[in-house]
Amino acid sequence: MLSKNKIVLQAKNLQVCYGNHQVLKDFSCDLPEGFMIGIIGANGSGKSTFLKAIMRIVPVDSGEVLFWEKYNLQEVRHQIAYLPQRNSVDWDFPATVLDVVLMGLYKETGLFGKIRPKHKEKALFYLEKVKMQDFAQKHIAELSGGQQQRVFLARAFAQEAQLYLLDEPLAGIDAVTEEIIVENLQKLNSEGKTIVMVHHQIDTISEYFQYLLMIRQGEVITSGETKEVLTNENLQQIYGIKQAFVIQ
Amino acid sequence: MTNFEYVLLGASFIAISAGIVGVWLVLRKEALRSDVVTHSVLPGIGIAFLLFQEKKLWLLLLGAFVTSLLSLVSLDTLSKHTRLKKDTLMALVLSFFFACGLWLLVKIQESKNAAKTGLGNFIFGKMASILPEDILFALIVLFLVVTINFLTYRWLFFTSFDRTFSESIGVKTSLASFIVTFMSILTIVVGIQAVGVVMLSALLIIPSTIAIIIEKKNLSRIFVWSIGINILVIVIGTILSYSFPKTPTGAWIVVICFLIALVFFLKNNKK
Repeated sequence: MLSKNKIVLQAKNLQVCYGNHQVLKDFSCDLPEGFMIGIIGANGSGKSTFLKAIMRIVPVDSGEVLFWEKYNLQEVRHQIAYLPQRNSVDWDFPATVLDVVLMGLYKETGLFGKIRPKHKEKALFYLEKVKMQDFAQKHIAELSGGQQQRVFLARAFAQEAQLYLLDEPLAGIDAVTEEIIVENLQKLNSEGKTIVMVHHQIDTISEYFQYLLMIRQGEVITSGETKEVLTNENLQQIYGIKQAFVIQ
Repeated sequence: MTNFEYVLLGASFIAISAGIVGVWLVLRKEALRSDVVTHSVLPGIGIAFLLFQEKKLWLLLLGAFVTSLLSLVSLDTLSKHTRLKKDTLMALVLSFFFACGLWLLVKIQESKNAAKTGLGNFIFGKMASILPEDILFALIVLFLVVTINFLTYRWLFFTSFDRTFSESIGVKTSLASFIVTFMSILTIVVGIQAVGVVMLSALLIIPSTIAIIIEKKNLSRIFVWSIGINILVIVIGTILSYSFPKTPTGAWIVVICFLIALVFFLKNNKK
């Protein structure tokens, strides 16, 4: 059952700087629970930094983030799955596909515990969801970009979270992989999970997302249900161009 | 046991430690960091000798441990507070500590203290200078490295493969880096007398790199290969340095490492 009134993530006046460059400026937003939420904006607008700031992967200069209206990150970290950009890791690292998905089961295995057959079975179950079960014993370097993304997604699914923060999961992948990923995300969403995803393809925004957070140069331009905020004016504003977009 | 057998045993203990630590250093892309540590032990040895006026190994190694730690603290502090690139800073810190060490050793050589004999072995290494009691020290370090590696294996795997994901689940990546640094300092400190300051980073890096080329996907097997290659080169290096007594062990080891690496690199050259 969806509870779409609750706020799953509340950012209050976030400020993040990389050296002298201010990436997030007084960034505030309320994201509702149970939605497929798209974060859109031009390159360098602070979309990925916002997700990293939420997870405290980058230092936050000031501001506050609350989850489910009252909890801080430490209290709910295990309810959140974060999927980094694919190019953030070294794909030549000596690991198999199964090893990567097993990382997502850290809540069960612990960081010092032993991997047991039941953990491997569970990891295979999540690999099957993204149609990668036949690749379990393959070295991750042998995979295509789309397959790597699916493995990353299987790891995120294995975390069995309530909130999924995905940094460009559809970047640089083929149509088949995109279909598999979106299908899985929509299924998760139908089970009541919240999906927050950095997205770049304008033509699929209205199809994939029920709610949008539109960003420009580290500031929130607007947020709201897709049908209300996905307008030519807003798109022109976030991308900083005058050309009209064709919105279906 | 003969002296030669003692030396081989000690050398093998060092080889196993270096084989384990080297894999993490290469996978975490911290190979240059180990070079900073190896070059920074020299001033510690010099200061310890000047302070205590005797060549007790544990005192010298304590000094080495302190200055190598100091070099990494300097590196991280400079990295935080300057806009210089990491590799530039590494070259700066490495050169500074090594220069201080050489200056101190020259001063010690000019002194009249009879205990100074053999201190030069720390630069190029002399396996034959290992005494049976030093082997115990190497064994303790090996025990520590194996235990730490066993206990933190998955933790190090997580943070080496995907730091961003690790941080998102609350794993302290800086602590994992400290653990690897701690293991590498221990290994370097125990290995300097045998292999030498200048050559030790090669022993840490080259065999583990070859191991990663041989075995691409299984980390446990990479450790086995790395340890195996390390033992092989260190044993051959020791035998050669015994056969040619005036030649430094470290140089032999690096030459053998390089030749083995060359064979594997050429064999695996994709072009």
